Amino acid sequence: MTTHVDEARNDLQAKVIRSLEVVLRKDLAEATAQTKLFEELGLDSTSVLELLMTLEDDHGIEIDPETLEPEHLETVGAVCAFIEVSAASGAAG
Amino acid sequence: MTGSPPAGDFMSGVRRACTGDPGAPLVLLGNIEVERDWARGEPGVPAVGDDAPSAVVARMDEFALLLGGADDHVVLKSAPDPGHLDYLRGLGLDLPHVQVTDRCRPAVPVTAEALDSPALLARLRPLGAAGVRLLPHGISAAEKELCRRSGLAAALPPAALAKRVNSKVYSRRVTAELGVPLAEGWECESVAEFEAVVEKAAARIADGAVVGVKDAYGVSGKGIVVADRARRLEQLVRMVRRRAERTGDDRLAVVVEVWADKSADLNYHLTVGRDGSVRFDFVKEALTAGGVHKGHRFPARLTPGQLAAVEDTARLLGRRLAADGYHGPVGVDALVRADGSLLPVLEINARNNMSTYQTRLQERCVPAGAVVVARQYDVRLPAPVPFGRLAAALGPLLFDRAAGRGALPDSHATVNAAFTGPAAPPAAPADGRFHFLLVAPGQAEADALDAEVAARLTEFGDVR
Repeated sequence: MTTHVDEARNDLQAKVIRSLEVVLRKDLAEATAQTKLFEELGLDSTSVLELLMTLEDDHGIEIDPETLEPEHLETVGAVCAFIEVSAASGAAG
Repeated sequence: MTGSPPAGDFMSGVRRACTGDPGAPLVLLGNIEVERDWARGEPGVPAVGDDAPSAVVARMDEFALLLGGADDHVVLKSAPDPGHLDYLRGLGLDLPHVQVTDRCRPAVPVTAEALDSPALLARLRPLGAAGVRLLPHGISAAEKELCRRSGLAAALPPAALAKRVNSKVYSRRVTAELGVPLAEGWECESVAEFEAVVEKAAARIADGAVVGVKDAYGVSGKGIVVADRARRLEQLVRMVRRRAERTGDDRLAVVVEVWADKSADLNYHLTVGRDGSVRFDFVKEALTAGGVHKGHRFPARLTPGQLAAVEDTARLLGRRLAADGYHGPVGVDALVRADGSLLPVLEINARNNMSTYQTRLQERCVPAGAVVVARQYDVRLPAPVPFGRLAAALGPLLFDRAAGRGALPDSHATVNAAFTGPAAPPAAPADGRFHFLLVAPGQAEADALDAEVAARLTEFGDVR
């Protein structure tokens, strides 16, 4: 049974993947919550700050990059969880 | 063609410039990540993640092998693949004595590994006592410490000076002082200066320009934000202001530049002597993607006027660097604008460049008139690839000196970077990088070779 929470998570995941598509300039139709940003999608140190700024715009949050932990950016699912926490607290980092 | 180097070759000039003697033996060190040391403690564009180099970058130390002759030594994190050494010797290269660090931990830079190697230091001390000098990729406090502990004299000037002339703030100010055309832009040394500059940059963006914010002490391929809307600059201001509030440090070291429409990136090279002499070495096209170095193409396709402008600028910069006390190899990034005009200085890199390491192979192996494309291929490898397997996979594509064409592997340590050392091999496929000089009679043949090499490398893993 699909709940409202599941639907909200799916929406958030789809939105995060769209942000990644914009930053990485490629189609990520195959990406899932388990997809690894650096190893599998090729996110690198150049594109990561652009991703954070895009996430800020797309999700109405503020991120302090230098207080991020590496695990926040490990997978698509980790980014979603990070955004959920950030949105709930009003700002991130 | 082993034995004494050809008269007037590249490295004889470097030896003369750095020591006064064109035959002076050297201990070479490929500390490619020296910029990381220069950048330490210099707040720039907000960084994400840790400061350690990747295992692949840390193994670029092996490029230093290519600069040494039979009287030289090179410090490496592990012994090169014997098959690769045989291949290089077969190309007519005399190679330096290899001095291996006591350990090889994947992401530890070669200088740090050398400093932590009592047995290596003991082997270097007699060389230091005999007057042999250390010629690193670039010099920072870590290499000075290596000199102190090994007794080797440094072939390069003081680390603080090397750091200063490698700042993009220095590049811009010196270029302006010399009256050389400069990208429209600004230098910022505090958050307050950056806030003021952002207003001017935002006005240029409103006019349709794209603006880049770059760390003054940028590690290659890092510390760059490209802003095509003012919102990106606002975000950056908020981030650096918040950091300044958190740390109590209002310093910032960045340059802000209006991006030029370009038709080609260039990299040229000069050598500045202790005696103030300046030698223009070469100019190559630089291949980049998103500001990240991907390789070179030479000869550079320049008009005689563009070439003359590059050489004139090189001599001006060299004289200025010498006046400021610098000596040693210098690379300069430049570009050709879409309208054909030259932007002769984007940044000065007073250290070895990737192009530096191509010089001896170029002198010894590349036929006149050939097109060379230096390329790297990132592959996810499930297992290490011995050089013999690579040679077999390439088959007739492998560069052959008699034929004067083919794919010439100019480094092999980066291929197996994740698999070197005592730790258990990674469970999942790991990053490896193949480097080649693709030597061909023309551009079309070089492009075809590029595609064929990429196809052959899929035998080992997924090519990115």
